[in-house]
Amino acid sequence: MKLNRRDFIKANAAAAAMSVAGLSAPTGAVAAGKDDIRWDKAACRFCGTGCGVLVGTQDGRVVATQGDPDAPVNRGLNCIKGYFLSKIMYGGDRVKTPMLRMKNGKYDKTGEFTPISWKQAFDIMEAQARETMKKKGPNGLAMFGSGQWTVWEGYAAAKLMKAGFRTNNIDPNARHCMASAVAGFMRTFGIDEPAGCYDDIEHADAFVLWGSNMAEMHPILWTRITDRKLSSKHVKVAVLSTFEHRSYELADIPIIFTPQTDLAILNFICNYIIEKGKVNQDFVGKHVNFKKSVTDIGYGLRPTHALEKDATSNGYPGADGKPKGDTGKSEPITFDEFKKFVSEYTAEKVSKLSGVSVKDLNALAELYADPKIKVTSYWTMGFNQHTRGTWVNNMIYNVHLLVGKISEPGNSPFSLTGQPSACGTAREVGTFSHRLPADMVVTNPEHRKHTEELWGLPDGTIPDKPGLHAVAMARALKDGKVNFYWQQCNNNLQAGPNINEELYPGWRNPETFIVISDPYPTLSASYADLVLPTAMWVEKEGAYGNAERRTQFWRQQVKAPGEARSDLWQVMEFSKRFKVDEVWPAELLAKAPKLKGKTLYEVLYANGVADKYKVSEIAAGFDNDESKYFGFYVQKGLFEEYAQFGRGHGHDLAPFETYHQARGLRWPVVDGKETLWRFREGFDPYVKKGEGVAFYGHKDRKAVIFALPYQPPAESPDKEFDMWLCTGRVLEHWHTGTMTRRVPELYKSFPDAVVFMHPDDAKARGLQRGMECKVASRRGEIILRVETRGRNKPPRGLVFIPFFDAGRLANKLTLDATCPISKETDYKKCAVKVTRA
Amino acid sequence: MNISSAIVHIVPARLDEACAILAGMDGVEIHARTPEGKVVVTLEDDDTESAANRYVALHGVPGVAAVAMVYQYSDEESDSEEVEA
Repeated sequence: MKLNRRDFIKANAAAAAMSVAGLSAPTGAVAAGKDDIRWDKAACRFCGTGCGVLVGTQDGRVVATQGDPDAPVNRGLNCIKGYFLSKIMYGGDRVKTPMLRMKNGKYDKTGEFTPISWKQAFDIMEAQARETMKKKGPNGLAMFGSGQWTVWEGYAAAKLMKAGFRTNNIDPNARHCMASAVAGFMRTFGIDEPAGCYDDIEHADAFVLWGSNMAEMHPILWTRITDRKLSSKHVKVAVLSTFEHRSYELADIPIIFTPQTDLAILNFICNYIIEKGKVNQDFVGKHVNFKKSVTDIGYGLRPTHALEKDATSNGYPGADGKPKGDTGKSEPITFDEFKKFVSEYTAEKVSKLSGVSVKDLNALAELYADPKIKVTSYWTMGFNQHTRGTWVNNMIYNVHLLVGKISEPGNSPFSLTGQPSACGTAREVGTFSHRLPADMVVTNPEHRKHTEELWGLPDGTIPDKPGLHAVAMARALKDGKVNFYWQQCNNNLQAGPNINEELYPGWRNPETFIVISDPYPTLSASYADLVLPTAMWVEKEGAYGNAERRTQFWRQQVKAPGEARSDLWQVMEFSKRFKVDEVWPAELLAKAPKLKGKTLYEVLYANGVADKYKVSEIAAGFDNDESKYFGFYVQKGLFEEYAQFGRGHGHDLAPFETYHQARGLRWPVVDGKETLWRFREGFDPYVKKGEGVAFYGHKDRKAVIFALPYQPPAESPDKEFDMWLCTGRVLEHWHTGTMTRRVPELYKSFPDAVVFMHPDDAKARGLQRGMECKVASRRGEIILRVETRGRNKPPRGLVFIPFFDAGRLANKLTLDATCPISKETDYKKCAVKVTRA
Repeated sequence: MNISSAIVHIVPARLDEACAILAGMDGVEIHARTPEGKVVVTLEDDDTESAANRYVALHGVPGVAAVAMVYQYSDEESDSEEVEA
């Protein structure tokens, strides 16, 4: 048969899709066409799903990408952002050389950006860091990193700050997205990250989305859920949010609740389970402890805020200078006490509070209560970005633990991640201001000692107090307590809360020196003092860890443009500028005389462990610019040093080379075998024979159910600011749009942020779809267009604004209230008014 | 020439309605559909619109629950050349 070329390719394309859809036999058709393209695997640069992609390179340029048919996560599928991956590195405005604000040939905070060399860039950074350390000590320095850092970038940066400069002032932007999930895991299970994995999707009979719009934010997982639901008629989907969105297309139980009342709904479900006699007594008896938490914990605002003054357990200094209580404190209670505690959360009372009908509340609770239904719960920012974010994470586990629906195929409380390596880097490596690798913390002397031993450093190197978390770091810049700030791989000036009052003032404070490493001139870069050009994604060898504990590697595929260098190179090269003798106190150095006279680079990286592997071990035909520059296989050395922390401690990683072959592996990887369901005998090697289930993160191998109440949010609508504001993302854009707004198709598809609102709310304010309006909070205002018929359909009294648009900054409106335990900001609730512009 | 394929999941109750809209879109062709709502489409560019923009547009069709890309091909070559198949 003769076909013209277009028909032939179309037939191939259709055949490939039929095969992936399971409508025909596998064709094996991939990536037809140009023969001289090199295809190699990588993890997608965007969300925490962690799809595998094939990257097509030709003449030193990425020319194509496609979903990797061999990747277990996405099985050849790609979402719309993934489809455009090949374009993210080629925006016309890549930063290609360091840029410094200068006047008359010298650094000046009020000067104009001027191209300089790397030597000049590190000269001024070194001078500023030294001056800060002289004036303020090491805690005058701070670094703000990322859940988009590769594993070794986060590891190298944490070492530089915590062990090199000896300050715990390093925090990742994952503080804004995952901190509540982490605190929830640590409190309930004593170990971070989900028990289950994506394979739950094909086993579950019911899915419940709590504050997660997976249809737009995790489209490939949503495709798998959709496939499961459409192909198995009994499968039910419940979707809960404070406004209707695209995930509701699939909902059997669509629920819109009043902001913050998720706390009450979760307690109602526990009450329902107990009242109906559906508690899994055997499971609870063997594997669960009950505790009651302190509750007067404040809202993470500045200590001078009215809401903090009277709080008895917010941990802030009281009149006597001592901390007022401890936000995380709890004490044991009995099952009967828990039963009594939740008994007041009746269907009628919670229905009134939440605005959800009794019928829907009961239908939702029955999904959890019915022992025949395998239920998987998913949540993202609706839970995590919450002034009671840690609690609400604990409370979803309460529900699953009461009925024993956990750690087995299809029964899975699953915390989704927003960023590609929020798990792999920010959490597992321990780049939070209070953490060390493998779930250890800086406040535990044993943990510090173990870390110092593995790093070959003297006892007492790592400071014992948590450093500044994201919001505290911004406040410290404004207050002049931190004077040197280095931000990598994120755009916090746009993504952080309360820009006008708490972010911008610190950046332009004459006392501060702001360094931004980024591939593009973001809002952060525009207001920085020094901008460093960064190599991104496959311009370097990388590793990410996704939401299901899957560690994935890629090789460097192309060279970065101009003078751009990876964040890893920047951190390591900068460390050469300092000798331990200059930054450590003499008494510490006296404990390790052999380190005398060495640079931080020699102490931290060329330390006999991380520099063990030769450049010749790098796969033939691939670049690795950092390794060639430093003279050893940097990524392998850092990874193997880091992996020592987890092996034998429940976080086992496979040997480095394994990951360059496998399509990712889910830790713990023991004897070459990955773990799909943790805490369950037969799946998890850490559960002993005959034990059945063991939540081994806690010493007694039990999980905790916490009695926690409903409490109101930090700010609610009132007479003047009469609407709720919820912020978030849209399908087409990733976070602040640094990459996606540089892909012409994605830009065009959703060019400007709009305010989604109910048509009656618009009408009541004299507004119509497409008109400009002013949205104002107590902290700022923005002007944007009204959307009343879009994909998001808020109820009356609530508006939704995406935060990707640098021209319409949603975070001028938000409040910097956080969960007092996790320190994660609540971006989902504050009060605004909307008027004609 | 740019040709790609995608799997579109449509809520069964709105399958006919959504497929009618898809079929009416320029450059979109339906190759298979199941009663459960799984629909295989190809997308092509023409002088007025890119295949990519058509892919973006699929998401906005009422009843569409999920869209996933499978295959893409693009080149600068002429598309009239005959090939053996």
